[in-house]
Amino acid sequence: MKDISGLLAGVQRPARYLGREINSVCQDPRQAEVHLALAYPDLYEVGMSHLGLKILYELANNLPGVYAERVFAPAADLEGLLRERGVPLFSLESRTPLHRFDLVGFTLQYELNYTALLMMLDCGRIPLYSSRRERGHPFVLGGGPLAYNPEPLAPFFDLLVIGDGEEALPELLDLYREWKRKGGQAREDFLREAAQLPGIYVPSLYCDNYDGEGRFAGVEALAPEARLPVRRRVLRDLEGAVFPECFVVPYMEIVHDRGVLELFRGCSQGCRFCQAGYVYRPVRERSVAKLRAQAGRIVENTGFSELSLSSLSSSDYPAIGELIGTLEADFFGRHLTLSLPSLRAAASAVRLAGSLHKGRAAGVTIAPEAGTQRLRDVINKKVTEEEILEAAAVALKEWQSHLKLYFMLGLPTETMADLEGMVELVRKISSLGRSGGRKKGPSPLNVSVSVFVPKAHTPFQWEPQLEMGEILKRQDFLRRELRRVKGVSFSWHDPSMSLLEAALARGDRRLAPVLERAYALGSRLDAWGDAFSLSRWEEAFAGEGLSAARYACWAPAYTDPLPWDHIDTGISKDYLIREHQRALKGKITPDCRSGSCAGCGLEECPLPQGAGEGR
Amino acid sequence: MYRYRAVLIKQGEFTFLSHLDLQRTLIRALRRAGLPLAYSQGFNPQPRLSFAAPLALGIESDGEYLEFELTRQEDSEELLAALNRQLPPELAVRSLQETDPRAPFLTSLVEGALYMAVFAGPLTGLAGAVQALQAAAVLEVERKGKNASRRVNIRPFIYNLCLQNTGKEGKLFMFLATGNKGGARPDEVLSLLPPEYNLKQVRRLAVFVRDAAGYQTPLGETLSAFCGCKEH
Repeated sequence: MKDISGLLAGVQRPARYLGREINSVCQDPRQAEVHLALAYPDLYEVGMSHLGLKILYELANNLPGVYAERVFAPAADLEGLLRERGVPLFSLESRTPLHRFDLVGFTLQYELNYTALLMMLDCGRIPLYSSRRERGHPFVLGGGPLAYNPEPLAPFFDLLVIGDGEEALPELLDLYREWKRKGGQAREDFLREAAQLPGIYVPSLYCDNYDGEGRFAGVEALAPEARLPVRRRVLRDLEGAVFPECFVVPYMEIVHDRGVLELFRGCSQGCRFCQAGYVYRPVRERSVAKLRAQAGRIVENTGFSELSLSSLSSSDYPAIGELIGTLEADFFGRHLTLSLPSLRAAASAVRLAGSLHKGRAAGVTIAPEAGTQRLRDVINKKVTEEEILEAAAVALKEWQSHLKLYFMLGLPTETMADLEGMVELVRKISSLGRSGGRKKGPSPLNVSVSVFVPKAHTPFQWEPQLEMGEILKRQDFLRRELRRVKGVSFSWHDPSMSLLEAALARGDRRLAPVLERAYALGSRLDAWGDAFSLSRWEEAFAGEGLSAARYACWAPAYTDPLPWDHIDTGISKDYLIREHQRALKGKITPDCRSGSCAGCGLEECPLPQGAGEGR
Repeated sequence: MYRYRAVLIKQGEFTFLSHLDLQRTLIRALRRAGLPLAYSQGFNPQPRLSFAAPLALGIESDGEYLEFELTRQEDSEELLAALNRQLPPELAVRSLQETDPRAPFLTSLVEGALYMAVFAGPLTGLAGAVQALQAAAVLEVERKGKNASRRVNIRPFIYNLCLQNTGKEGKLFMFLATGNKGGARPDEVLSLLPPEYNLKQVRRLAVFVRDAAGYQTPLGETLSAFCGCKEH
């Protein structure tokens, strides 16, 4: 393994690039038949916190002949050094240059990581466009939630995995091995075979069409092997699925520096703005017995002092009380903190989370999302004001905890009355106050307001993002009003970042050259606000004769073709339309777990289906 | 409560782990080894584990002193072996002994650290330059703060410098103040020497506490055990 002391000496936080952590998989890459880089287009501390990557690392390294290594985005200082010294970006384990891998697979979690992805390809000496890759170059793969609208990235990828990686990745790697054994000659041969696997999208086998006025007119298959639509892969049995019990233990502090249990995948709430709530259906649970066994082994193998009980809505896990009780008994006296990261705004959930902290000054976060009942009904956030107040009271009074409230601004149908309602709700919560407790320190109540971003494959995919001028006006209103509420601090998401997120989230293939331009103009780790510049992005859009605002504020009709129509999540479009219409009428749709099926049409759903019209 | 004192080495690329990284690494190593680390009382219990003195990034060390407490008594040799099974060889524990749990933690006692800088020849004039530093009353260096940088006189923090010159190679031993009463870093001292000398490596040899008998390491070794210099 190459010594990289010279590079490490020249950068901030060198532990990001050191590798060699406990439980990292170290092999001779020359012995591996299939050498896979698992890439995450953000810094080490973010990528290492992502559960999906840990699952794939475990999965791939247990397949015969496969060696999977990690690679993360270099920060600006290392990127500069790599270029200056002519060193290609390398993997953490064996420090192999990226271009020497057989396959490089990116996890796609966040729109503002896209230019970092291009930077990683570029620094790894891999041509950005799949069309320019030749024999000897790796195949570039992508997967994760953003692969559900892959079009803005399509020309950069050789193929994308749609759906649960546990299902498609082993098949894909098998296919690659066969192709390599046969001599690994024409890239096209492998891609055409891969395209026939369910859940695999090979962008070069499709083209995008536009009408005379530049409106998107649909994606077309160019080869008989190209499936249309490409159906998402669904892992049916979470209980029996691979799950890492030997997490790589980082030396430096990462964002979520802890062990993780995945209680269930999917979510039954059906919040209409939430893409994860649709593309990860159905709900698949792990048993308490399984989770308990995993917890024991994770703690033993890693030495972590915190274990997160993770899912999209952990307080919805039916046996949550039993699970917590069991784990607390198992780890009694061993200084292990359990944490519940995603809480429903309900007193019982907050009480549960608070009990885990045992009165320590940890914060509680609840997400009412909208300030009035009317608007919460529109977005199908099934929580009443009474429940919110009760939950807040538990956090502030029973647990003497800081409380963070999440809201979204610019939700469909929002009016000033909803914002006034938000201020009123905050005022009521702040008046609950704290009985005694500390007076010093930051205010006990933080209100965080982000901007609504319409996402593909949700009922709100037909909704525009609020126009920027109006966003700023409404933010101003909130800032002014919330300043007058005592003991409240207000934080908000940069609306120009939300604008870009929205443009990319529902973008089409014409955005690929925009991304390339933004990268050339110097855009990198945009998710880190300090590096973000909207004007650079506007220049990149303008260079292609496009406008970010037009993409963000696009309001397609139900009959308009959408750039992600060729990706089939298994949820019917009719259902999304019905949900959109119910939203506009302010009608809620019950939780799938409540026994009433709204008919989303998903074949793999194990719950009894009924009521709705299906597909 | 049972207290243990250990000496670790820190080598190669692992010199790029920070003080906090190292602390976290040792806590997790003990936990993985199934050893019952003791925790502080109170709202936010913290593991009873600390390193005697932080070390700047990139500097190798033969003597990183660590103290921790267990709630159960363990055999020192077995404890050392168990820890080394959980650590990379570049962070190996080279000795370990049980100590008095009522004594103050080393962090508050450490006053000095001995560094060795190795130069490759030619070394003409180096001895004179070192003497000039010793003779100076004030030696100012630039220190970067969070916002601004300031000039600091590090002369009071230089206890002693001594050069062993073999002609081909020069070893500069720097005995510097460290700890909560202020100190100097080896790179600060080296920055005061003329730039033409070829610096091969810098390493920390040990840290020192002071008692009636003078300076000695937490395991009782004296300065002369490390450098053979006449006076410190």
